Amino acid sequence: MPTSVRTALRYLVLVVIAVIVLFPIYITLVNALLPGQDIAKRPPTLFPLHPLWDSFSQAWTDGSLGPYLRTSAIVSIATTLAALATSILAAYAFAFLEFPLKRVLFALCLATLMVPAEVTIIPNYRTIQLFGWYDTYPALIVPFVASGIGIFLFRQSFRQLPRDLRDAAVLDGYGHWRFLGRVVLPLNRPMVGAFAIFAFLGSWNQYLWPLLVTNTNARRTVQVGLKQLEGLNADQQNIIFAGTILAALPIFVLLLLFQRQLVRGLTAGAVKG
Amino acid sequence: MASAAVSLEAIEKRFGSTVALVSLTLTAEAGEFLILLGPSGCGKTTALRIVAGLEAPTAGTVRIGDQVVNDVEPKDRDVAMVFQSYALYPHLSVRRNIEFPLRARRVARDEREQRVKEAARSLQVEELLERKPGQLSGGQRQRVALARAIVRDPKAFLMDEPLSNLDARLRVEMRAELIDLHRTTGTTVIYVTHDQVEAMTMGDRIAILKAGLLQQVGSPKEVHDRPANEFVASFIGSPPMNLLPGELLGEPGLTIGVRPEAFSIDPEGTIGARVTLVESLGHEYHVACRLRDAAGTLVMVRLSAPAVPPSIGDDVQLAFTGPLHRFDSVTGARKEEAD
Amino acid sequence: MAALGHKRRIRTAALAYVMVLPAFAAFAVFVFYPLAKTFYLGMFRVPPFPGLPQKFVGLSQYTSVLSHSQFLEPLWDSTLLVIFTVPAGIALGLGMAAAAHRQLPGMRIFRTIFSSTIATSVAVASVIFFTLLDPTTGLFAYWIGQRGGTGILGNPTWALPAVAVVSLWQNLGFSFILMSAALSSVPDEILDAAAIDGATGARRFFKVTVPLISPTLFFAAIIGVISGFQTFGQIDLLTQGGPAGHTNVLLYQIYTTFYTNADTGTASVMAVALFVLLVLLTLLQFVFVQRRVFYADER
Repeated sequence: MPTSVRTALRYLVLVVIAVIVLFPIYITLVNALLPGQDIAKRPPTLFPLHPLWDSFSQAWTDGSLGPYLRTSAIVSIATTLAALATSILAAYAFAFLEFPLKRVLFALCLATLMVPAEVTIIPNYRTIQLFGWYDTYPALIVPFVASGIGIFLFRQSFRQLPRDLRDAAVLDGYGHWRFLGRVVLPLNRPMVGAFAIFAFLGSWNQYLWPLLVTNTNARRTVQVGLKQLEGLNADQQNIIFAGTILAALPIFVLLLLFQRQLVRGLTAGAVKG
Repeated sequence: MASAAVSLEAIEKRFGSTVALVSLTLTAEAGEFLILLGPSGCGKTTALRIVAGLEAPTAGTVRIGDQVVNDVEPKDRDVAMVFQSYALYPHLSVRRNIEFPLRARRVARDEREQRVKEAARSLQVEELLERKPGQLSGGQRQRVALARAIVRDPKAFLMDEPLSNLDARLRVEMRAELIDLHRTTGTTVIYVTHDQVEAMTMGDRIAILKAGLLQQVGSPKEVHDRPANEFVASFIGSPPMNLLPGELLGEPGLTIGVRPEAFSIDPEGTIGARVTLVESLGHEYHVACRLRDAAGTLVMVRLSAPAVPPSIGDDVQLAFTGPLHRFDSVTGARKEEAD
Repeated sequence: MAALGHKRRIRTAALAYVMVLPAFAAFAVFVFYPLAKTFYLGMFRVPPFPGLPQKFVGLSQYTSVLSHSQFLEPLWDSTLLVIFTVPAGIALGLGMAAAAHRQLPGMRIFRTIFSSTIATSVAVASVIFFTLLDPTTGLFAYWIGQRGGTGILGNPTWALPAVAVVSLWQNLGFSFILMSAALSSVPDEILDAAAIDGATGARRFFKVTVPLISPTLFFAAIIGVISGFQTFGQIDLLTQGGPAGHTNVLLYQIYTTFYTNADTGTASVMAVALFVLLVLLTLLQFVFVQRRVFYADER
């Protein structure tokens, strides 16, 4: 087969795959821009000649996507920052300090990787009730402020630092806190970025736990909020589609901005699955 | 700040069951350039790290100046260290790297700038101040590492094989600069190396270590001319000293050390040998000869520009033209009475 | 770095404990305590009527629940879902990665499109497909001829495969990224050598490339199985376990037993079972990750 034909075939395959992968997203966008009653029309409209954008504002207000997104943003950012802080601190201790029970504690850290959050929902739900945190931000954030995988990954990354660098800093008069802040963290920026993305995605996409511990629109995250949209009428499906787009948009923007860190974060985080 | 003497007294260091240093007592006088020389694993780097405070000795006393520093934090010992890997902070510019120890000590900004400028000038890295270490050549990184050390004006410099990552030409160049640096600052230097050429050319005195034990301390001339034992004899000098069984010269129980330059090829010579290898270095020849003894001992002969160099396979007679060194063939210790 | 003196060692240890404290406080309250508590709760039988005291029945509740269809049927549904999603997911991801691996103009765009579904969440994907599969208005329902009636999500035979398709689609991006990373880790020299030895095209792909990336394939399989058993959102948003329990996967069963039926005892027993299952899978993965690190070092 001549090379040009093979190249053409290759592109054909790529385009077919791209169409299959993208079609659900494309039709979501199209349907979001159609008048609600036109969505069920057959043959279906595959290109909106007169796009209507007010489905988005309706989803934002009537569909409560505004408050949902706000809650999700607050929860995900807070969870990410907290997980970064606790992981970096613990990883520093495991990488650079000597202390009794170090091995035991690190083994416990690894052990948490084997306990998926789904398994502990029953007592955790009761704990949240006991703390009076039902339907509050702490219920959505606090259970996830520590990350075994984060500690593990940062420790690995920190240990790659040459010992000479730590020794030089000791002689230069840098204590542990300043060494962490001025040397370790700046040199581990890629890891910080990758883990931040991983933690943010994990928090943003949570479904079961927010479903369990919230019951008002003010505290529902956007994932759980989407469930409320399913109850809309058939002629309001444009609002459902607009809502899913609004829910996915932040992650889509992150994907475009931080593609590399995202890939790194996903593949690194894949260790946990 | 005045440079200070650094002394180790009866230092022991064990890592678990392995012994790194055995009762090491050694002093670098104020302003002295002291070399710690030995093969890898001999404990020389451990000794240096103990002086720096990066390792704690298992027993013994470390003194800097008049002060016992065993319980003094590394940063308060006022010594600067230059690492083999240079240990530059890759994310900081050269300026920030040099400044780093000053910032840690909260030196005022004006003074900081002044001192960085001086250090950069004396090591000729002024042009590089805004670059990152990743953009520098090995030699330039070495200079920056030195600048970071001298900017503190410490009581002593501790250098851990600082030249071993450089290529041969740069190494010779930096050797001269380090000697110059030492002369202008007058600061005590303790310099760890496994390279005897560096040791001989740079040191005021050389301390030779083997397996954690101090073998000899002395000026380059002393350790060369009067090696304390077989190990020192064979470690110092290139090509190394020939060690011949005493029986060959009618002195059983001894090992006779003969430097390659202490041989000559001379028809009047008393030792018969056959040439097995001739290496020309241009200005001199290294000639390997096999003696006609039972063991067929190999000796190395160094000839400076002979009129007719020998060829492989030649039968020659060897004569002694320099001093012989006698060592106890059991303990390896130098026997003085024969001199 | 060895500590200098006793005092310094104590100071270092104190600092270390301060640094690990936040993480371990959270682990203690939200991981270790609830894990033990779940085991414990599994030993109490919850009475059918609220208000009556719970009764300690010990391990007997474990044997009764784990041998009962209320556990075994969801376990089977979860297993089916895993069978439907994991091999297909890996094959699709690998196929897409292979198609996009060659350097051609415009490949960046294709790579971005292929990984685009990672921007969707389980909930986003589920709501989109739920709406598109709606038997009266959904476009996909129209195309597959499932008009009117219960629709595919209400069809006992096809509901679970439909859920699997949603999972598959939502995971395509991740699978593609993972497989692309694996493919680019194969050294060009080996492929060149294979080509010189006469292996090209599909033959080279299956005889050289696939064995070389087999560690990643195994890794992807394990994490696929693990996340398959943690499926929840798709079920809650697409079928609520129906029709007639045909998509009632393990985690959904735990959720309804606990949240809807308030039967903490039974739910805890099933949670423990899920935990044990996932631990075994994770251990398998750890053993393998160790090997993979070793493998990477060798290269």
